Amino acid sequence: LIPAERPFDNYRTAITDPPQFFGRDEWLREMRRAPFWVRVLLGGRRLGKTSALRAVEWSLLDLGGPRANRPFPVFISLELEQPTDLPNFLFILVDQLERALDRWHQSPWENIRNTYRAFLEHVSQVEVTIRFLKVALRNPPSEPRLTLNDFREALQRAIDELRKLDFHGVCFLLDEAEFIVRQSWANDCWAYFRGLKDTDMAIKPFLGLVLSGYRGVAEYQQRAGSDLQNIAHVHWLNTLSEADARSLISKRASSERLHLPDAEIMRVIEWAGGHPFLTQQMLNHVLDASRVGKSLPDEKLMLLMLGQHDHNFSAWWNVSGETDGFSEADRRVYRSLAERREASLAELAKHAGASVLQAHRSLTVLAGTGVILQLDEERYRMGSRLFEEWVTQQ
Amino acid sequence: MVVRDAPTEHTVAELARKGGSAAILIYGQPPDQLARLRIATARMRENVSIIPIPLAEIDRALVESSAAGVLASYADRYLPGANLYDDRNAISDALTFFGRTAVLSRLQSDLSNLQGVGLFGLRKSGKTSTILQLDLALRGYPVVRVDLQSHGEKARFGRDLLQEILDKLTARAKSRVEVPAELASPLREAAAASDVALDFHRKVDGLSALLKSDGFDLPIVCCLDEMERILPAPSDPRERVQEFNAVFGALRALSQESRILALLVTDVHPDCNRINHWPQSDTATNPLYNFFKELYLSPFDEPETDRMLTDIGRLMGLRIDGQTLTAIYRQSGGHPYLARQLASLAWAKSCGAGASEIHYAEARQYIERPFSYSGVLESYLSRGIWEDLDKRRSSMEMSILRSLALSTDGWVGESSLVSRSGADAREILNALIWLVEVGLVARRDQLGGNEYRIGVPLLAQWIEMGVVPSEVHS
Repeated sequence: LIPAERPFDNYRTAITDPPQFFGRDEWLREMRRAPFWVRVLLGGRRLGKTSALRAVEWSLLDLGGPRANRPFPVFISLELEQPTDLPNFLFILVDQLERALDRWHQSPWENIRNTYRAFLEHVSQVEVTIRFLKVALRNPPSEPRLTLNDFREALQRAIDELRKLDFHGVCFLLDEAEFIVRQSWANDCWAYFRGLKDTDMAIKPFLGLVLSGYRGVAEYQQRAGSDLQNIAHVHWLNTLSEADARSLISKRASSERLHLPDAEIMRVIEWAGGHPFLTQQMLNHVLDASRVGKSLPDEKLMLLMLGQHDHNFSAWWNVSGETDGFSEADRRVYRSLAERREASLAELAKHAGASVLQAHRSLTVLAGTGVILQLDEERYRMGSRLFEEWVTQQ
Repeated sequence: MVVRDAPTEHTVAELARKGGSAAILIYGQPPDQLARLRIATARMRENVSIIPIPLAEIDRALVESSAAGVLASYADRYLPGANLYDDRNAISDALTFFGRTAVLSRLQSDLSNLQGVGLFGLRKSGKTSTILQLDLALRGYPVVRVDLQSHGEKARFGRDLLQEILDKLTARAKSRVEVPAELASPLREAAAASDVALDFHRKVDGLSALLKSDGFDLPIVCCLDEMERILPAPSDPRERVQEFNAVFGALRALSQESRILALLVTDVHPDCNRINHWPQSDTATNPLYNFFKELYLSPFDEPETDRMLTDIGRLMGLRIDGQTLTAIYRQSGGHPYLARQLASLAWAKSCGAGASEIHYAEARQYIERPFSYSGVLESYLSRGIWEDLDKRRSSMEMSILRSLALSTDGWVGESSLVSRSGADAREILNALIWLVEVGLVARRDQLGGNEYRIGVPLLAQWIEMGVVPSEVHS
């Protein structure tokens, strides 16, 4: 089969086209309701955290949506920007805010899909010393760093300017916040933002912060002072619901002018278990086959998927302990659930020989990695068959 | 509408009748119960959001150039559907701040008499909120609040900290009078704290005279929040200790010798007041050793907890039945943040926006087994209390809590705790004193030796959840 060329690097990278984004309704609703809170968005690798942040970005830029209490979103990939210390990080925040504003000015409103595409594609020509920084910057431009006072001053200027554009503040969407928690200055950084959000009345109602990450962010403990996470609203991403997965599959099939029989749709849903990345990747194979009038037999498709995602599964399972994947306790709880297919927290804790708290934490991580499903507050069910098969073969 | 004293229900009704979807009520004294009820009725039945803002808050906002922020914060709180129980940040809104009347009045009296005070308590027990209320209560005094969270990142933090105190003091003075250039000029940039301490002293002296001549009462009240961020740790370089000593030497001199500044600091543990000698070689002793009167923020008693939950509910147009109030107090032990979060969970899960009453029958499971439904409480107990003790290597405190949580005896005698731990009795007593002060452990004074039990049953439940079944067996 010849694989087709598809957008988003064959659906391996974040989704930035609004019609192609599915699910996460609760997350988006919450972000719209209170966009100036400190939030921590947690989820396993490839579960769609970046897409979820991008969805916040376009939904806040959508002039067709509600405008009251709306901040200007600034998406920043920390792995890409690699701040070297707190002053450099503060500089990056203001610099990226300026660049985003410049791109927004260059993207005339048509509808959210076209305008957002233009917003992402436009290359900002902003020099690092314009507007907010120009006045605030005390260091020479060759030193991309801001003192705390300069940053605060620049932020205040930015907030004033944004108000004229009908945005009521700024919301920084900090993707891959693990980068910061690994740094020696992480404690100072989070303590500073905790202070801004706690007591700085001029800034706090107009500054939103969203940090995305996985275990490193979830388990990060500040060395001293009050924890930023103690004022944060934590949101774990989980798998897509069956209805959302079904909509995604239908959309993908119809955009390629193909029709998938219900059995094929159910096979994708069951095998991928609602994991968005696995769903997209499995669909690539299924649609390639469908285009030439075929259906891939189970064994062949399984082999293809296991081979293709061995490195991902291996990183999640983390037997070597080299990634931020599962711990031994998580693996024990997963195996217990695999034996039962569906079970309560208490049953799993007992069977895995763990405390209820340990089991609860493991189940949160497993569900937040997208390999099991949380049915309600107490009950869990096995998720992706693909991953389960991979585990069985280990 | 501006009401210089306490607004009544008639004031609120009049405001609601004026029409529009929102109205601002600026008050000198907090509205009474009926007025609060009327605010909720206006929002729920007449679709008028009444935003009550204390006059003192507006005064403060003008000095701090934060008027837009204050307005946005208050507007956000009083829009329809807001969950006033789920306050994660420090509370500046006087209408949702409860239960610290005695502490506030003691602080006012001690600070105005130049007595330095250390306000200690668990994370989220209301230390910052108390400082914010104190600022409103001490309107006649120049109050300077500094959040130390932004001052911990450098070993040489002193100059910037002293400058921030000066900046805030100057802003206070400038709100009424012109400040001479020599007092408004900044301290020497990038200098060590010891090099600018004298200049700082001189400027504060000048500013205090200016403030006094313009009608302010003295002393200047300087509130430093989160001392932990700048308190030198054993692993810190000597330079950091020197900065600490220089800053607090200067502040202490302004308090004890010049008698123009009263110092209030906050922290979880009273370390800043208890450390005398620093482990770093060739450093002077801690100028704050035994300087502060220690004051702890203890949990609320049952009537205070009930009042807090009932009054916040009233602002949301919500009634809570008696059984729910009792259950929340029992679980939280009167810890205000835990009590509010339990109420928030009960509200969100059992009824939600638009409901007018929380019934115990529907709320019970969320109050009795909250960890299944909310990560917030688990996160607070685990990160805010347990891991905090772990970081300090407070193994004695952790061992006592574990022992009391898993005890089936109810009250446990002091001797029993000593024999169970096998540790030194004095060490156990010291740990118990702090645990009792912050409310994690309750004490019953008995003739034959005091008895203890866990003070926050929710914490006991959390500790039990963390125990592997085999451990319980053994």
